[in-house]
Order: sequence, then C-alpha cells, then structure tokens
Amino acid sequence: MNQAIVDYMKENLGLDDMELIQELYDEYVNTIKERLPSASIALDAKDFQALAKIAHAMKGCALNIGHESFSVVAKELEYLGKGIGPEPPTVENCSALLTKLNAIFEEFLKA
Amino acid sequence: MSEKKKILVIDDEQFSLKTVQACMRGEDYSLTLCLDPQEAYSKFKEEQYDVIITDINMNGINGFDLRGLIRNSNKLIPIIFMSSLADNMDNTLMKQIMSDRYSYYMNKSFKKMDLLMMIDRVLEVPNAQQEIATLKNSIDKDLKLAGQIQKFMLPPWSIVNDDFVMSYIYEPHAQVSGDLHEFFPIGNHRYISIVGDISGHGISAALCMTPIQLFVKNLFASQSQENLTPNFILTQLNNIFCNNFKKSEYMTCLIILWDFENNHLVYHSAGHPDMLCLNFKQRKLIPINPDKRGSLPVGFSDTNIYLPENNVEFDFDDEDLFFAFTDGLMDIGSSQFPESFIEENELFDFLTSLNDNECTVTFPYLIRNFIEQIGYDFPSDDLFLVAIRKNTAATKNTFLSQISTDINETNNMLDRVHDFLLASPIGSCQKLENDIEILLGEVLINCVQHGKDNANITSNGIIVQIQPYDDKVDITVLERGVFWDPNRNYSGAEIDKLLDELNDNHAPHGRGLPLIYNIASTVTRMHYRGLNKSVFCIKCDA
Repeated sequence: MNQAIVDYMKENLGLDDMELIQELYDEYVNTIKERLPSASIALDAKDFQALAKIAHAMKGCALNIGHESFSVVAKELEYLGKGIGPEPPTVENCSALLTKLNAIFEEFLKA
Repeated sequence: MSEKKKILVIDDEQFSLKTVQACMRGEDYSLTLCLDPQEAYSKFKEEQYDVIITDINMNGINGFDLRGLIRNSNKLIPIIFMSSLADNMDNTLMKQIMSDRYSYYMNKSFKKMDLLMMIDRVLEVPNAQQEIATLKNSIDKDLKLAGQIQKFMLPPWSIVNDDFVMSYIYEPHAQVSGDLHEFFPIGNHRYISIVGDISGHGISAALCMTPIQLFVKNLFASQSQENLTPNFILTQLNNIFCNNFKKSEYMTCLIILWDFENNHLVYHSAGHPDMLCLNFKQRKLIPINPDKRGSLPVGFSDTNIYLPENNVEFDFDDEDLFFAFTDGLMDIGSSQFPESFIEENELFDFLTSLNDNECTVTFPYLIRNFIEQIGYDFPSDDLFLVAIRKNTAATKNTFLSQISTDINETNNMLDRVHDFLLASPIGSCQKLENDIEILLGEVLINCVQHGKDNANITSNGIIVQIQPYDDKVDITVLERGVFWDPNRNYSGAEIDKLLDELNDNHAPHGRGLPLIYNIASTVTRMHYRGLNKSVFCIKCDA
C-alpha cells in the first residue's frame, strides 16, 4: 500500500484497523482502475461532458483518501471538459491530462 | 440508553459512501447509505432521520433537487453537502448551499474529527430552535398576562359622568406598553389626568410603566387637592425616576388639572407633545400653549425643577374637544410604503372636519379609522390617544349615560332613561316611551351578551345617547363587543314568523333582534375598528 495514503487515512479519517484500511485502499484502486478506461472511452467519443463527469468522480475519490496529486490533475481535466478556463476542450489537451492521470496512478500503485 | 441518531448518506460514488462508513465505524450513529438520490428520498419518507449527508453532483437528481424534495415535508432537518464542487470556493455554489438555513458544507477531503463536530453541531440546532420556540411561547403567554394586567390598571376605555365624556385608544406596539394614562377625581368637578410615554417601547418601557402607574394612583389618592398641582406631581415623578430607574429611562408626560365647573384647565408638559383643542365654533385647532412653556421629561435630571410658571392656564368653551396623545400617533406608518409616516397636516385637517354632534366617545376611533382609510396601518411605537370634552348633554335635552357590561346594570340604565323620558316632551307619549324602553332593553341585553364574548377587559362599557327631535328619536348605542351584521334586515312578515317560531319552541332567548327591527324605523350600524356604533331611529306617531 502507498504509505502516504495509509498515513492520511490513519490521521485524517481516524482509521486504525489495518484490515479496514486495506479494504478502503483496495476499493479506491478498483474504482480508479474502472474510471480511467471509461475516461478514455469518453475522450475517444469526444464526449467532453462525460469525461468531465468521470474526472469529477475520480477527483472526489482521490480527495476522500488524500491522494492529492491525482485530485489536482483530475480537477484540471474536469474543468477542461466542462469548458471552464481559457482553453476549450480538445482531444489533444484532454488526452495530455488523461495521460498524466494514468502516470500518477501508475506511480501510486508502485509506491 | 438514548437511541442512536440516524444519518442518511447519499452519494452516487460507492467509494465515497464507503469512506464515510469507514470513518464513522464505532461511532454512536446509525448510518444508511444510498447510491441513488431517488431511492434516498423514498427512504427519507419512510423513516425518521436526524441528519442528511449528500453529494451535490449526482446522476438523476442533484443534491439541491433532493433538498427541495426534503424541504417540502421537513424544513428543519440538517443537510450537509459533502462535495468537492466548492473546492474552488465557488461563491454561487456556496450561496446556493447557504440559501437554506439548515444546510451546511463539508469538503470531500474531510477529516473525521471535523465531520463528527459538524454532525454534533447541526444536531444541536433543531433542539436549540425548539428550546427557543418553547421559551418564546412561554414569554408570549407571560407578556399577554402582563398586557392584560396593564389594561386592567388603566381607567375604563370611556368615562361618561355629569362633568365630562372621555374615551381613549391604547395600543401597545408589542403586547405590553410604556404608555401611561390616569384620570382621577379630586372633588368640586375637578379632575387630574396624566398622559405619559416612557422612553423606548416593549418590555423595558412596560416594566417602568407599571410601578409608575401604581405610584401615580397612590399619589393622587394620598395628597390634598391643593397639593396636586401639575408642577408638584412632575417633581414627585422626577424623584421616583431619578432615584429608582437607570439614567437612560425617562418619561415625557402631560399633567392636566381639569375644572369643568369653571371651564378652566392647568397643564404642564414635560417634553410631551402638546394637547390639542378643537374649537367647533371656529372649526379650528386652538393653540393652548402658544408660548411653548414646559419642562424636561421626568427622569432627565435630578436637579431639574418643575416651576409653576411653566404651567399653562387655559379657559375653554363648553363644546371644545381636547386630544392628548403620545408620540406614537405621529409614528404611524404604512407596511406598503415603509418610509412613509402620517403627516401632522393630514391628521389636523381631519380633526377640524369632525362633526360636533358626534358623541365624544367615538372620536379616537374615528381618527384611527381615518388613519387606516388613508393607507397607514401600523404603529411603530406604543400608541395612546384620548379625547375629552365637557358633558353638555343636559343643556341640550339629550340623554347620555354609561353602564358597565353587566346584565344587572341594564335595569339601572333603563331607570335613568325612564326618568329622562318622563321629564322630556316624549313622556307625554306613552307608546313612544314604551317603545324606547323595550328597544333599549333588548339592545342592552344583546350588547352585554356579546360584550361578554369579548375577552378584552377594557371593552367593559356601553354608552347610550338619546336625542329627541320633533318627529323622531335617535338612540345611539356605543359598545366594544362582538360586531353583528348590520346588513341583516327583517321584513315585517319575517319578524312575525321568527317570533312565532321562537314562541312555539319556548326559546330562552333570540326575540331581541326581531323586536328591535319591529320598533325601529331604521337601524344603522357602524364599526370603527374596535367600537360598534348603532343608531336606532324611532319615528313619532303623529
């Protein structure tokens, strides 16, 4: 398990049962593992609204568990998908952020 | 052991629900988790929850729509919006959350301690609201009683005696008032009256008013006639205020010494609006105090001296009508136009248009009626208005008398009416005399019955005025009981039929009204918000 996340869950969510921590950790991993491919499908379909919605959901999960680096990029993707900000959503700029998200998650799993 | 508080948690993201659940494990709450907001609403309707925790951005209906549904049936349940939508402190979103008094916000990156603290805090709010409501209810009951006691200590709403006729309107801004009124006989057709207005309004003013009212009663009763000069009374009141009340409490007041035998009055204003005198002959308001004499309100300074040279002396005509009031009269505004308040000229123009044949008792009510008719509707301060005029009925061959709302008193009134009729030209017409007595008897019984339906203690009193003319007699009855329908008129056949029915059924009451309509050729009923005026006209047979 990612130690920083385990520490976050202990400190902020008040969890001291390692079994429960593992359970929640696994749930998070599985959720993101499901959402990232869905985001790619939405991007392929150029459905930026759906992409923003998935990014928003992933952002919420990451915030819940203290996965800050992931939540920051997910928020950027959410805003881009919604058209909030200086740039309109394109396949290129959304793809770049989604690639970044995948990389952060890969990094997270390795840690 | 107290039952666990129930929390309904709604989020269409399973992981978020699990996070809240994990976080709350071992805590003394019962959690119901729901992925679908529609389903959550069904659960809410089925079961009693103490707190709702919901996401905002969800599939189906969003968190605000869900709140709307919940608020249709429960305005008070605390709703915590747990979302990451407002992580950029989007003001619109926060405003939307805070637009509801019992909605709160928590970010998704919450800490357990913060969440528990918020739940504890929001759970206390409805309890605190309930406690406040209970306390307010209890205070309202106490204030209602205090208001009734205050009214009980005031003079009757109208006084009709051989010397003068007086009536007043006394309307607290809240349930209790800081306005003071006392009218006290001191012998030889002389009376002393006080109109006072304690600073501020509401409970603090009312708390000062009650002991002052008692003090004034005792002072009037204990002092000799010679001592009771306006400046002496003001000095006594000033001592009481300065020695017993806070420095911020003071009272503006008028002390008036009336001499109805010599048509003379002496009065002293302690920072109070001057009394108005309406002279019907000139049809104008006479300045009683052109030199603006007066003194500081009582309670302003313990070194203040109320000098006799600041008393105002005034000689009046028999017909002069006097008004005294508190500044609440000039504070009457309009709920439709909050910046608009009644103007002095509007009021004074109306006063000079009053009909001098009207019984003095009706004047305060006519004024209030006028104020409402021109669109002003609320006093922003305690309101007091009194009208006083010398009783000149005897010199005009008019009968004017008052009884309390008591069935035993009706016979006293009828005896007085009988004596008046015998001494008047009407006495020679036996039928007319009988008709007047029968009609009046029925009217008074009716008024007493309705007066008793009215719980207002100051409504106690019925005034009868009889004005004979060559071809008719007008009987005016003024009272403050329940208003009955003035538009209901009976035809002769209807009256006979109704009386037959009442007789056939041996009805214990109810004959009054048809009898009245049988005798009177016309019946006019008016209602001046709190005062009923009925005029029964009986035509004289040739």
